Amino acid sequence: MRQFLMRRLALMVPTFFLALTAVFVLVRVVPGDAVTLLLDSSQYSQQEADQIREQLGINESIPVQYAKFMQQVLSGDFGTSIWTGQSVMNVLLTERLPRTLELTFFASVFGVLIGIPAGILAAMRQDSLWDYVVRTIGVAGLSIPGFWLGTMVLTMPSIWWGWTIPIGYKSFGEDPTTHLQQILVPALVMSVALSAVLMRMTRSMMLEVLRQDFIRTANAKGLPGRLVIVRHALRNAMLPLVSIIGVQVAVLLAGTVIYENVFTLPGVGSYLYEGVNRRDYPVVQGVTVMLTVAVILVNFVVDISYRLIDPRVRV
Amino acid sequence: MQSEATILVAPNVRKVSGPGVWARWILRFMRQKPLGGFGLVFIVILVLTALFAPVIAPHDYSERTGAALADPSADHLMGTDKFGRDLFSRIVYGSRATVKIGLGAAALATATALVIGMTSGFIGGWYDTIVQRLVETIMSLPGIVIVLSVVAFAGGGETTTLLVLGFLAAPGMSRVIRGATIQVRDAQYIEAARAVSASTPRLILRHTLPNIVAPTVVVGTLAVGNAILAEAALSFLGFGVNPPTPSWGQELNASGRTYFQIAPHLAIFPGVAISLAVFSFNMLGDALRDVLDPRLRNT
Repeated sequence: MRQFLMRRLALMVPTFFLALTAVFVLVRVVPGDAVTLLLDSSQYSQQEADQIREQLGINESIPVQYAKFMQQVLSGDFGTSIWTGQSVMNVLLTERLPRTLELTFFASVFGVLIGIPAGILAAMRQDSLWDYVVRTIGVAGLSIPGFWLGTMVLTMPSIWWGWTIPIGYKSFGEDPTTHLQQILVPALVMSVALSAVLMRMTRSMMLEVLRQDFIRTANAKGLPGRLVIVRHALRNAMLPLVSIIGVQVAVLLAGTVIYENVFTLPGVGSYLYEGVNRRDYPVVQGVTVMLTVAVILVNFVVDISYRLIDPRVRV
Repeated sequence: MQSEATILVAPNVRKVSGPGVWARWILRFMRQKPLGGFGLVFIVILVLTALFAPVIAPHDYSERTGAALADPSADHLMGTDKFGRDLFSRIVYGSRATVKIGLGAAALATATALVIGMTSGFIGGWYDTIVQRLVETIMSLPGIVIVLSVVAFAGGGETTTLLVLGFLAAPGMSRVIRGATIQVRDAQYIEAARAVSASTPRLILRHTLPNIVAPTVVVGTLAVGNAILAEAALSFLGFGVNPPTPSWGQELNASGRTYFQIAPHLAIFPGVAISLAVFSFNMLGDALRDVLDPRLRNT
């Protein structure tokens, strides 16, 4: 196990390097630069623009910019926001990230709690009404845009019952009930797409496993149906699900840009949105790198847990 | 394991062209897969709407033709927005952005994925290893975040959206195409073509490509749905299609949100349009997969 961990950690170094290089290339290769856009959209003078360019280091050549970018990444210092003057890293770590992590955590929990049991039940009663319902929700959940679902959840209850999520973010310490509404409702909306994916996957994995010989043996030796499902079928069907959950958590993390915007939650996603809107270059860069690193870390954890569940896996 | 018979039959021997054959195939497909058939019909309607938008829309999309925030009526089928513009006409015109970016990004993604996947699968070796490392890396990036940071630097707009969505979708699709290529690569007809000294490009284009059409069509169809969803999300955030060009995601934008409680039709119709379009492509993709390539069912 220790050897496995070491090897996996060593593999992460080139992955980080490649991913961050990809971020740099994708963002810089596109024509135009942030400051030109800043000039177009606001009141900056040419001189101020040059000053900002110099401050941001985007007046340099591409290789120099790349070196600086990597240096920033390694030191974890993304500079200060053009708009507020606050340290990007500081704002991210102390204010924004905890809220986003909380939101993503609850969304994943809801997704798993809804998606997996629904998929198991659908597989156990194939072609029943329940199976049909699960399959339909499985496709619909992937087709309905999350931002629309969120908008509807904000709009319709207020028309029908006069209820809305309290406006103005409150931390748990300040006002627990307000905070829980502000986090749990968006988390539930976010979990819809995740549970749809999990329902579909669980159902098809379970159907495949249930057809195997060892399930017939377990049934034949008179094991109670519940034990056959939990101990024999589910354990084998879980393996591919773990990697799916990993990928989906990464999708959720990136999706906070949209959901935090819909529900006006001041997390990492809204920070990026504000940054893009204001052409606040250090903020955009800081958030992008942070989310990329977070996604790589999630994948790492998934690989490790995969190995824990299935000892056959080798690197 | 392929059976003896399928190996011996050379590809493209059966005549599969002509309008009659196509019509019969589509009819049988609709009977076998009613939901996929529904998707296909809706997609045809969607494309026709985009093509003939000026004929179908009763009003111009930017013209103030009624009272602001009016409820749906005979003159304004879906009501009017905050400026009194006809929502139905805006949705009809908005289908143009959906079709253009949805199909465009998916086409770009499919073409890119074919180049990456087929060369990687066919050539193999160190080339495959390097390409797959890059593919994995790009796949592990948080997609929408990358799109947004590109937009922050280059500005939004239809062309940027189409290009970025297309290129980011390609690596994931190339995985499926690479897998299919590897399965075909060792077939006897490839060996036979190689024996008569066909060049590698010829082996790839003439002998491999026609045999991986099925999985390509499936992932391509599903990619359209994803591209439509991504375009809607971007336009919703205000970075996709730029006003005054209407787009469905834009109608749900924050600037209109204050009015949704007074005029819920403004929120309902664009969302239903997006959902139906994505649902249609997803259903068609799923159905095509079942019919054309049952092996892919779990991907």
